[in-house]
Amino acid sequence: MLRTKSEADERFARQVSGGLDRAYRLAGLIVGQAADAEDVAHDAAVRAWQSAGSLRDPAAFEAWFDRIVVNACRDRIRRNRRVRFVELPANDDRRVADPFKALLDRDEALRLIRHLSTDERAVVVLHYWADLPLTEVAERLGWPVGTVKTRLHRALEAMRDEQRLQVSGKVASR
Amino acid sequence: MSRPKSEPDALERDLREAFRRAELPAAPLELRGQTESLASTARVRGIAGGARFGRWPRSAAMLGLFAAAVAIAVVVAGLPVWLAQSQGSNASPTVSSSAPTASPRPSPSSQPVATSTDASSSAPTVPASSPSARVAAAFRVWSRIDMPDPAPGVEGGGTPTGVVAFHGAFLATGTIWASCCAAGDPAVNRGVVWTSSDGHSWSMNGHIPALEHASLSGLVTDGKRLIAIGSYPAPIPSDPEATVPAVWVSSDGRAWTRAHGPAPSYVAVGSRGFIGAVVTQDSSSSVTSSQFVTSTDGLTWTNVSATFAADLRGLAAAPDGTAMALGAVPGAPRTDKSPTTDMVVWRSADGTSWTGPETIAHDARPTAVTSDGHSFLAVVQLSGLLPSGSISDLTQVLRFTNGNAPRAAAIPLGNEESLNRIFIAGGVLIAAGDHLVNGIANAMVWVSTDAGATWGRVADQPAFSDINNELVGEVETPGGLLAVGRRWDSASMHALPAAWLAGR
Repeated sequence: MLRTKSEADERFARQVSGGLDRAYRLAGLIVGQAADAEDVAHDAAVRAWQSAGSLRDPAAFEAWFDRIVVNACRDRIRRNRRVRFVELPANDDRRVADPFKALLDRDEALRLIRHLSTDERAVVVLHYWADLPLTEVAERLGWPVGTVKTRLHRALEAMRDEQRLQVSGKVASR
Repeated sequence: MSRPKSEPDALERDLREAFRRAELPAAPLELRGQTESLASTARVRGIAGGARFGRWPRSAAMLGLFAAAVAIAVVVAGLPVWLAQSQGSNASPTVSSSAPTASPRPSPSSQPVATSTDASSSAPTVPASSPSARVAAAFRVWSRIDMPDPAPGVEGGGTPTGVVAFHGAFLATGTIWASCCAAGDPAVNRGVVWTSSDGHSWSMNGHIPALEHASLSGLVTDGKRLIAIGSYPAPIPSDPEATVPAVWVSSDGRAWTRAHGPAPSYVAVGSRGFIGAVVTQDSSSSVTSSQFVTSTDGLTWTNVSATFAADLRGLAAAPDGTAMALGAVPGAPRTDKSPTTDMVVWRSADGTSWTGPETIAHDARPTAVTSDGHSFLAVVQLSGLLPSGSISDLTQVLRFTNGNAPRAAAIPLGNEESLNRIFIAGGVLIAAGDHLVNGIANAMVWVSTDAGATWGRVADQPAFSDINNELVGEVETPGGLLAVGRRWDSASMHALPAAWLAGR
């Protein structure tokens, strides 16, 4: 028989459930595909339950959960490097469009994100998608603000370089 | 007067606008259901949570490569086993009524119809359920030894991935998995070496210059030198996370040299040197190619085969110089058009001349191979499409002897159990993998004391307490075996290096 959950547990459950869409979207933008985003969001939820006791201030849940999601993204990407996946054949009629891949393929600016490292993607997504100031990005990533600034600067430079390459490629191919 | 904030440039404006316009999906219902169930399981049952390092990735399942690993609620009696070259399976000693199984199975009338043309006559029958058979006859008690942590505070942790007996001691190699850049995190992975004279007391060297940037995944030795197998950052500016296979060689475990040129992802010790397989994946086409190589010193590798399209999954060599590699190639789609892979093997009498691929089983995913000195033993997961549309799985150990067709033995895995390693210690076969408890993985060990004919599961060990224990390297000891891997500290949410000792 299940034990009655405490009020704190109930509240925490509501917070995790309420934060799931954000976690899934944040993960999808960082890892770049829906299947991995699902795994990451699930892992993050498990970790959140595991370490619920470390959340001292319930009001800080979003930042706390974001940080867990970003770390789960890092684990996922690292694991993907150790496990080779095989794509379904393109003519498989069960294949459904991956909303994150589609988005990152479709938009010219977002396409540039794919050329960034995991940490650079995390900075860009938290700053421009989640619309967080750099101090809050730093809090979520556990880095000094200076490190966040440096990484954001490098990320933007890398994206501009890629943009220039793409433009010159288009010009050359004309 | 404060300095005016710099104006965002066009790229920043484009990014903000693109993110604002983006219609991102909500969390899928399946994910939501699983996550909400955590509230009633993870806490109520006191199961520690944490990252599911050992579980099969959902993405892989969805993509079909490991579809069987996540979807099945029952293990089905009489699951058709489509051994393409199956003459040997008629003589299988392992599919008798005495072979164990633990999972409920449907009646024979509900058995699926084989979709392969050469399936039914050779399909072994799976024995009746026998819970007691899950009790292992050896290696029943495991004890854990904590190894020095090379990466306290590092999110990814630093854990061993291989161990060997070398110059009268045990030597393990592993990797600090840099998460970058929480407090204390390194910016890149690096290799670590642990040594012990007895398996109980370990020392560590986490700062070996040649192993900077190394991600080590395995370790072999011929008694004279060590070869650590892993990967190294690829020199591709546009893809900073890309890595290429690499090997490092040492004669003492302290000084290491990275081999230049294409390096093998799999290495086995043959009778005349090292045997390897180079595996490459075309990033644009996702096509995986492999090639056999040999080396006498681990630093220089010579191609001994042409490149062939296959995804190798294991390589083993026997003391007599014979070798076997196993892999997966695209197979015929199931009747519901879902993709499959076929298990194939290559055989060699000397490590330099190879024959294959030889198709062993359809809709099958091999996961590990070893040699017991007489035969090669491979773990394979076979799948079958049920009339209901579900996919059912069966895990088998295939024994290959003297070039003959394999004999098959079923390992009666329960739901959400999978095996990914097989090795031998003192004549006892041990298969290791993980099982999921409320979606959280933990180590699991199966043992066979009759050359793989029947298998029993080692009872859950106090030494595997908490979650996310994972055995990734093993070596025989005078009294039994020593395994290394990772354990999870729930308090700090941190992976820690660990060794386990088990006696026969």
